[in-house]
Amino acid sequence: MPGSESGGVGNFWYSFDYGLAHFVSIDGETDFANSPEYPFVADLSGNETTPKENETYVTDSGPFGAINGSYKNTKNYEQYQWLAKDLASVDRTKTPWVIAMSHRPMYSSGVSSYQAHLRTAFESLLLENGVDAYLSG
Amino acid sequence: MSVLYESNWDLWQQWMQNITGKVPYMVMPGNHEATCSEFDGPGNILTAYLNNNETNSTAPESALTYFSCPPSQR
Repeated sequence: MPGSESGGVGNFWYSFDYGLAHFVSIDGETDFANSPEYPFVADLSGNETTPKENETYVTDSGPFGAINGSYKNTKNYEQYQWLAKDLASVDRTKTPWVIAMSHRPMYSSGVSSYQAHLRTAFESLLLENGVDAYLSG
Repeated sequence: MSVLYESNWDLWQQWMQNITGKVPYMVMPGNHEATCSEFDGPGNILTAYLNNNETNSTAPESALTYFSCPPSQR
């Protein structure tokens, strides 16, 4: 996936244009505060730089981008900063439509806690930038 | 349960093949990519089946190599 081509990271977050739309794919699993998979940095205790195996969970994953500061603040994450920059640089005269997507829904009739965390992380950025649709599945 | 996921995945790929064989598509990570070792079943029953052709058996975590699953996740 065009992670490096769009300033993102690998298959995790990237954007591309197709026709009149700018598509943005974000990682709803890792790389934001309270992500459904906890980053390994959250398992550290004391002065450790890497966690012991019994401090980790089988669902731990990432981060795959940098975190500049506390992992508890989404704005410190490289993914968030990339998303803000990517959305701000959309040329609406070329791609009037902006569609964002990830595996995880922000709203669902099957309510689960990750939805609120995802909203807290990214929803206002999407709204401020006039994203037209958010797809998940 | 993990064997069910694997067979569902195979089925889905087969169903989609008419399209995916002709049209490029973009993919994004989901929880099954992020937690690559989570659904292998107790004792890594799926690994034992896919790698060693053993049913209802176990495999060590080091054998979780039939898909991309970095050592840090196993």
